[in-house]
Amino acid sequence: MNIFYTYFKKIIEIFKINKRNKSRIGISPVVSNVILASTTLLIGFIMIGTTMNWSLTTSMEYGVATEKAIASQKSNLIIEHVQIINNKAYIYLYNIGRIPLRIVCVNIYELGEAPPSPKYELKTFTDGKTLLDINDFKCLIEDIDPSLIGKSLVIRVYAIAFTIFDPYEPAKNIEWGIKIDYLYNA
Amino acid sequence: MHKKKKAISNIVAAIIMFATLFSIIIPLVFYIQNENVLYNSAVIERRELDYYRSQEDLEVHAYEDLKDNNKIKVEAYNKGDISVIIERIWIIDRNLGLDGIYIFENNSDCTPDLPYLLNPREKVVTFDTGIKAIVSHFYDVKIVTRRGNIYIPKESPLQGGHGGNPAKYAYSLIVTIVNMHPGTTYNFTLVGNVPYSPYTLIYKATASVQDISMSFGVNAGEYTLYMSDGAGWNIKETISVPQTLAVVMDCSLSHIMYGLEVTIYSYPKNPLKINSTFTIRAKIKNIGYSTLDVVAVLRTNSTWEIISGEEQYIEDLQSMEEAIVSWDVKATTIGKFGFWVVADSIESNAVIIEAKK
Repeated sequence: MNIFYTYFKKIIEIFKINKRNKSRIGISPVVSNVILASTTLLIGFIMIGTTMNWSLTTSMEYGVATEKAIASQKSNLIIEHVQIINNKAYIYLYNIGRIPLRIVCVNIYELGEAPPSPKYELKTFTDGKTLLDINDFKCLIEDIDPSLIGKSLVIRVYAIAFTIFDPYEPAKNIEWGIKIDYLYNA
Repeated sequence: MHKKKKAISNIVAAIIMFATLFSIIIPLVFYIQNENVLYNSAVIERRELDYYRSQEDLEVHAYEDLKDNNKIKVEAYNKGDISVIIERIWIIDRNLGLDGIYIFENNSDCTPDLPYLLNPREKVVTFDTGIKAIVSHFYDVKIVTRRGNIYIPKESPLQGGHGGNPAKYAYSLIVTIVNMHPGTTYNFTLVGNVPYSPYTLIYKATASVQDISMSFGVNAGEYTLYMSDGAGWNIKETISVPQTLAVVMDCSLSHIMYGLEVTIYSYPKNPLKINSTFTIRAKIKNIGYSTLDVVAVLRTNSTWEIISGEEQYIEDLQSMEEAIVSWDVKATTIGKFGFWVVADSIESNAVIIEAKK
């Protein structure tokens, strides 16, 4: 309390002095220090807040991008065999990667022709499941355009790691997926 | 005494700066470093897997065992430097559609069981699939390893009723290309529904050679030949190879499936004392692809007593496996005599042994 009283008295004296000689005396060093420190603190807090926000955003974006890149590195798949019977292609897939996969597109087109643009949708295997686990070997049945029967074909399969697959938007993150081709000789 | 002025704002600013640095920036740097380490380890793991996958080296063969109910058998030999796990064996009967796809993997009827670990340069393993080959059916054979390599035996597709695969390419398809542009590389890809080889030929035209003829080994059937110059110019031709007379001479059964090497590698130093007993050893190696039961017989022009009996039996001599057989002989008369070993009509070298008083 004594300290506050002393400061209060000093402030009154300053005002008195100021009344007596306005042109000569400015604000006291204490007040100026307080104002300067407060301003510094304010700017500092704004800076901390901005930096923290930037840091969180950056780390989240970086973490997500790294997760996608890692998932892409771990994804690996082979087409063991393709059998075409009655306008259907039986595609046998083997996951040799280190992460479970989902198949999002199968493109079948004639050898030597331009590949059609892929339409992404979640594919289901013959066992009724959509997940191709690590070291899993499953069969996928795909309808074929009858005009392609009897021709040499390219079977292109698009797969994506289950960790970065979005069921509501199968095309999302497709750039981090894998694409494998199989040449089918008629 | 003059009191030293303190710059509080500077101190506050410094504190804030250090607080920001230690509580936000440095953890962020650590986090990014950690993420980089995770990514790099994933990249290294992938490279390792790809490297090991590329190092796998299997020699595989398929044949129809004429001695065992025409069953299709698959042989594998690991000639690489790393162990290989055979995950699956495919036998696909081209004539039976989906019913003709036989996949052998866990708990299947294949002997030995799959998956099967093959160590480097271990003996040849023969998988008995139990599938009987039907005459004139074509069978595709594939072997898949755990790392994802697919091996196709050079005999594939097997033709039922032929044992090995003697008549792979009965005809030659000769293609002549004219007016090629010097310096341009042309790709020729042959696509057909019957066995043929090679699939692709690449030829670079020069100023002096702009017309060439090339040959594909084919069977009778329909083919399409694709030709491109790699710069967008493409052409394709459909070719029909007719079923005309072709002469096929099959040497596979005698040289590939069944083969023995017989050598006498140990016999006593000459001369011997009469009535002494000695041992002759022979090495019999199965250089064919089939497992054999071998009868080895010691032949001689002497009347010396073969104590252990003339015939020795070796059961289940695997491909590339060796067996040692031996005979104990008593030199009952004086003189020089020849000895040699016969195994499945293959004769060894002869050795001369002399007995004295």
